[in-house]
Amino acid sequence: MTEENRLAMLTFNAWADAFTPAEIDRIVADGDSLMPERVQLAGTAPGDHVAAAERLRITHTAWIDRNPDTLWLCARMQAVAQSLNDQTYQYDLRGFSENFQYTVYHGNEGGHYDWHVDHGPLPAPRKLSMTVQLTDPSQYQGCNLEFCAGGNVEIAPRDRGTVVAFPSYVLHRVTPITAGVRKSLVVWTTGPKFR
Amino acid sequence: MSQGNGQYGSTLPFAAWGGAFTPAELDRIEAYGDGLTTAKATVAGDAPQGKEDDASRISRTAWIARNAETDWFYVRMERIARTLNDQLWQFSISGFSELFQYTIYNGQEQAYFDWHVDQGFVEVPRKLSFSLQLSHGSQYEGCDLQFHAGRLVETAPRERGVVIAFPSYVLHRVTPITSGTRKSVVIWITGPKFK
Repeated sequence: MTEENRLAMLTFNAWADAFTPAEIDRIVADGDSLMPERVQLAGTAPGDHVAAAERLRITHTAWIDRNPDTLWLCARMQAVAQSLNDQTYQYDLRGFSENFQYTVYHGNEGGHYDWHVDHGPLPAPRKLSMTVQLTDPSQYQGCNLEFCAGGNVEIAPRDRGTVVAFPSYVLHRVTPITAGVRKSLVVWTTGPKFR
Repeated sequence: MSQGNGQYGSTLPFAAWGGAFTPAELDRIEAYGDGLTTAKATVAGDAPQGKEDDASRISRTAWIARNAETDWFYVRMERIARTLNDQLWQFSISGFSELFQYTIYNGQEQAYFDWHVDQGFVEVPRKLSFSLQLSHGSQYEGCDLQFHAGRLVETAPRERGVVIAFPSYVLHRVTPITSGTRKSVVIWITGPKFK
């Protein structure tokens, strides 16, 4: 196993240009039309009177379901997941049991998502998580998708159209956005629990 | 074998099992470990044989071979491992393909082991990791075994005789020891890579 492959196993795998600019535009238009709602998770100190930076998460999200307009997107994500899984992970994956999450971080409200893992007590556990970068990196500051499996914190590429994939158990976060707006699509591939 | 405290809350990234060993058995393990020459620990990395890397780890380790004197300990740990795995994880596990690691953290050396996961650099994948606390929590300061699988860092119990178990992909560390000596046995159960 190469060093690069090891790192990919432990943290993330990036697939550049998984979507054309026109396709990204289409996803963003779809997502924006769903009017993403503000999601705020308090984390350790529940209640409304919590400073932005103290919160676990501040984002706007909308859910993209499977319909004739989005079939192409599901098919593309399926193909990306399958290729990456064949190359690197060889997990037993069965598909997408959740809708895709269109996620927007706003610089004017300190959008972020602190350290967490994606798998939870679900009937269909999340196994391979994927984030599609939908915003050109010049359009926002901060808002890095970061991973930690020991040693250094690894920063995912920010390029528009890149898919970043990682085992759902890997610790990751999105650092606070300090300017601009970052849009992303978050997709979980599910299957029988890890064994 | 008594389950003692049993497992902690299921939302924690680790399980703890108290009372699996009698004080006399713990004394026996400790005496055996102390009789082995302990070398300064290496951290697997660039060099094929591992490298001494004070930046991420300072501790002393020795390997407990399986022999007539230690067989009972291997048998006991396998029962504990399989029971916990059956209850909590249901991972596909094969057995112990590595020797048990007797590990000493010394206050004078300010020993520690920074954040890491147990996967990644071994040929046979580690699936579950175990740490057996051999020292009384009152015999040393610092040297907490901690887990990071969410926003909060969780600390493992320090009681002598407790076995702490966790999936090998969970990020964990041992904080610096500021006084006294902490002895533990670290054990990995291996199996086919996660599917």
